[in-house]
Amino acid sequence: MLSCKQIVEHGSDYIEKDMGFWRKVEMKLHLMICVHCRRYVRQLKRTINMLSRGRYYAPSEEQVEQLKQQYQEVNGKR
Amino acid sequence: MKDESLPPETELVERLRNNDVALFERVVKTYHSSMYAVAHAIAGPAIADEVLQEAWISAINALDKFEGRSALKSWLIRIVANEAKTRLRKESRSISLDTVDEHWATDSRFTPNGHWVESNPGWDMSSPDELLAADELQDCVKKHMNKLPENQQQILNLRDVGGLEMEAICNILGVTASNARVLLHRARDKMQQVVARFQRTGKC
Ligand SMILES: [Zn+2]
Repeated sequence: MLSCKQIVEHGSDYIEKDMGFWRKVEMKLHLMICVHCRRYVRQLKRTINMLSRGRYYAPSEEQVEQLKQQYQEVNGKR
Repeated sequence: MKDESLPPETELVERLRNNDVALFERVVKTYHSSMYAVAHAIAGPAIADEVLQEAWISAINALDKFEGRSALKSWLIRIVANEAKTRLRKESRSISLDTVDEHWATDSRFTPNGHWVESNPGWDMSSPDELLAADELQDCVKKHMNKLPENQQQILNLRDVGGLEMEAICNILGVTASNARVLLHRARDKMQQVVARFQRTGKC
């Protein structure tokens, strides 16, 4: 039987189905009976989704204006 | 906030070729962050802005050549990754897994036999949209992202924020797939804990 800690250590492998058949079965069994780890996996998925859509490095207004200018210059020559 | 606010790709590219500045601005605001994450991870924070500037110019110039075989976002990411690789930071970057293993070994969330010490409560803000709309939380996530060990931060930025494929990431960083997976998961796990703490306490 896998421990909760082992489930947490391999959470990404589970989500991405990047594991062998038996490991997957073992993890599924654990998740069936352990609400805490089920929550963890769900939260990990949400965290990944959040990271992929968050704007952590948004451009400044100045940068946007500069890029718009460059865009127009290039398009003028097109 | 979302890609959905942009028109379908074929229309999008057509309009970008026809000097639609307002749309270009939306494209910049949608993809800049992911592109920056990639530039930052590959070339380093000091010249990331410069790399991004170059990448956007290359992209604008190459718009006519965009064939739509990949999504616009992956095309932009590829351009910025290539641009960044030419400026790859010179310092040696040794990827070490020691600290990662140590983290797991001393993880205070678990008892010595691997059970949760405290029950893991559910989240009040449960949908990704709610998480994204909470500015304080997003600031907190960013702050902790910057505190990650460098190699974890690089991989998280390349994979999750930037959306690059694992294979490309391994090539760029010169790490094996299994090491990259371990580092990525460690970083994600850290971010899960940041969100969980924020949900529990309302604090960063
Ligand atoms: Zn468990």
